Amino acid sequence: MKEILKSCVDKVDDWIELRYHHRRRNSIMARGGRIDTAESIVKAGVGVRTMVDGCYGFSSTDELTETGIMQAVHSAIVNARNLSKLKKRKVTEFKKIPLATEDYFAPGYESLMDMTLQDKLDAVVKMERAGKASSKYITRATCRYSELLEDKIIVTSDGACARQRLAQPEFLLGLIAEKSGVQTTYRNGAGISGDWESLFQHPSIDNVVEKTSGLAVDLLSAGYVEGGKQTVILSPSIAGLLSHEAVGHTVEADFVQSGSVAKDKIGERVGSELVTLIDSGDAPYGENPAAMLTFDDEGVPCREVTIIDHGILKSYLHNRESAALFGVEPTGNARAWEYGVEPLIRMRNTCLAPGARSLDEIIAETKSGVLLEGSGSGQADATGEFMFGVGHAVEIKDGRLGRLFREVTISGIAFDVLKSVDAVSSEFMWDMGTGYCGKGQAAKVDGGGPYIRCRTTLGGK
Amino acid sequence: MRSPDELLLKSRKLMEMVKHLGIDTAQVTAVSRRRRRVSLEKNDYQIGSSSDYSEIKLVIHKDFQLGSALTNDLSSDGLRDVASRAVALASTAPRDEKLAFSLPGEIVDLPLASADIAALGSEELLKITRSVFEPVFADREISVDSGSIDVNHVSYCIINTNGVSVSTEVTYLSSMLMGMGVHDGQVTSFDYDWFGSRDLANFPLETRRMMDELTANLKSTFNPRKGESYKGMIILRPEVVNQMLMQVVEFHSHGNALKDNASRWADKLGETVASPRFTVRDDPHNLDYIQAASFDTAGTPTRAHTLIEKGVLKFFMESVDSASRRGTGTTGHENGLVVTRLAGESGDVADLAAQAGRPILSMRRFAGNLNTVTGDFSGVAKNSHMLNDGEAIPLVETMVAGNVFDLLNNIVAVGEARNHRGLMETGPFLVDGVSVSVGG
Repeated sequence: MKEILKSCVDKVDDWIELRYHHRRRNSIMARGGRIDTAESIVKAGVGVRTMVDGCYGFSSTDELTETGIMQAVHSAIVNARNLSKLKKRKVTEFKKIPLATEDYFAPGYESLMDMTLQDKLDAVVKMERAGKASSKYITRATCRYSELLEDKIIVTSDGACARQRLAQPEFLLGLIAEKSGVQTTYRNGAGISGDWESLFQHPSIDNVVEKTSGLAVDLLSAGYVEGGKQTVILSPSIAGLLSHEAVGHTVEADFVQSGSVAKDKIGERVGSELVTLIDSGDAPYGENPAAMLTFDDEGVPCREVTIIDHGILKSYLHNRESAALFGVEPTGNARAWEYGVEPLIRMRNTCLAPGARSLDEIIAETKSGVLLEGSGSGQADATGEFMFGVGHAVEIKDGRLGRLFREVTISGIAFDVLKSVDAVSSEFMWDMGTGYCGKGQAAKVDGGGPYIRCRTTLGGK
Repeated sequence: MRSPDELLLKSRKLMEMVKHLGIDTAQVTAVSRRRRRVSLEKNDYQIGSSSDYSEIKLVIHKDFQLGSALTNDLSSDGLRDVASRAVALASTAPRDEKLAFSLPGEIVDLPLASADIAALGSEELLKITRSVFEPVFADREISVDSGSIDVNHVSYCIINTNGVSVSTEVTYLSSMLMGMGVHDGQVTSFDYDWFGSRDLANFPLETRRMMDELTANLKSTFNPRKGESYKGMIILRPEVVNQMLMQVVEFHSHGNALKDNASRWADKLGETVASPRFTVRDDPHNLDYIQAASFDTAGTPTRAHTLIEKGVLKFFMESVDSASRRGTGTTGHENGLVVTRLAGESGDVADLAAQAGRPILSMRRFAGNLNTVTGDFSGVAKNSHMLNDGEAIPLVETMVAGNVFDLLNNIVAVGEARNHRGLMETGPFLVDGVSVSVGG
């Protein structure tokens, strides 16, 4: 396929980017003692992006021959030429940088391909049954396993020519408990880059049935937190969600250009001295985050980006177009969900850097506050205003953990919250690997961090 | 782009392969889609794109074992591969004797495709794009984050071993805009809206109307203030009715929830579950809405139904799976309501606010948690206002919390119901029993 793509690129005078993308997604879900989903999806095709007169055009094809790809190339050129008549600001010429030329085969791809579906399905059925049987109060259980196995080849007319294979398995257990008309739901799971064994070594899946069941049942008798601004300790999953949703999106360069809160703030203090925020295609801390990749879908090698360095905003996230406009190096953040869509600026693995103190120490010195664990859905705004659901909360009083609370939400302004951070733990975990980011198209991302203590607004019932 | 007839041929070929593998219970769904799109980003045109795309999905029930596979490779090799993957999965799944496929039924043929839209040329598409977006670009108080105009042409078919063989062709246009208000260094919360239509002649005008309303609302949210905390009435604007009310209504009136013992309305058929002001109809053959369909995604014919009439629960929706497990019949609701129409009364948002007799929150967007099972919700009202004596005060950080079942029983008034963005018919709702707090 690489040779076909190179041959097609050689036939075109304009700038062109060809991306072969083969994706296999196997999904199994057990619910109510039966298999709800047992599905294998395979899609393959080539996405073609061209630039004519400073304007992009895109087309795609599932006909994987030189003839089929060249037809898509011609469509993309026509699309670019037509729209260039309307485009006001032509795309600035890309900075010349070394593009990806080395192949990368992620660990786990071969072994997940070789592993039988029977073994995967057995594990899902067994976990769902164990979850359902774990307590008389557990009335429903769902267990889901899915794996993304991707094979991509990028060839561009300015030098990218590389292939990468990615393996991203994930596992999620959800339990619903009921007692006296009260119902609670709790979920635990993990998504990683790697193989089956590594997935089940993730701390979130360790004793997953006991942990999930225990919390679902305990929350039945939990109270509601007092609303208002409070001192909180955010778990790695919530720190990750905050990093991704409330900060990460505002520093995507396309969103910056539209007027996000991070616009014109490079060099300004946006967090306390303890806050360092990183986005990476690798694992700057911890192991096997879900979005490990060596180059992006423009063929740009993935750089580790320190977005915030000890509280100072240092960098946005870029594709080639925005990097040229801002006069900086592209960061390797252009990603496309499948062959039929063009790459957009997306995050990869986004996290807060760990500190030097233990969680126990931080709790012990907290006179009054709440420990927040496990994230639910989240939403954030161009202004950095955010609102997240939280799995559960535990009262902290005079340095000790106390009552359990349920149905807690947190909200605030991201940079205000980061400025209030006064303690950062040494414990670190990636814990957003079962999540997908949506921005017109999906993207597999991960997020994580240490436990951080800060001030934010809590909402209860 | 493959026609429905071409898809039917491919589907039958796959079904033959499956039969040769000794499987006599299977369903094939094939889709072909052509999409042309002009995308906008950062206050400018960004990319012109076109794609032709086909895929075929096989579901088998081999000895009551479920297996499913999908591919976009419709060659003979691709079809063989999809069959072998489905068989491999089914060979490992536990037996489930309630697995079922849809049965044949009488299909009402609907004219869902327009030759004009299918043949819309590039020049015409660019002309429409310019006419709707240039006024937005010219507005110095609006920053366009992203937007698009799409021309969609879709054909699909479903066949199964029960004798179902249905196909159709659909065309529609859609538009989207997401942006923020910008003024004197202020940036508002982002907001977005969408419009879909199968009427080429009215599409530019209706898209302009959507964008005008969106940009006017964005500009009305400069200098937001704190409102006041209270518990009582709020207005749900049409933009938020589906998210706040209908998610819960659909969940609890669908057999999928009933089969899992998760519906609060399991024993409420014929009983009052909402205010007499609440009537929900499904009108799947109404061509004014882009979801109109002759059959659902399982191939079951669709029909008009009244789910809730003046607060009384009249009907449970059923998918093939829920009907099989509950021993009922499928109703053409594989994915819930097709075209939702909520009964309205008279007046607009301002009229509802006047009825409240006090300052009242008018909510345009909700960001937060809504538990569809319990109905509990808590979150932030975004892009919203406090209405007081004819004045609309933009709000910041306003938390709302309550329970959707309570809201359904506390509908104080409903405004005039209109076609909302080609998606559903609804008016604004004045509901009671919501906690509104302005926060720290």
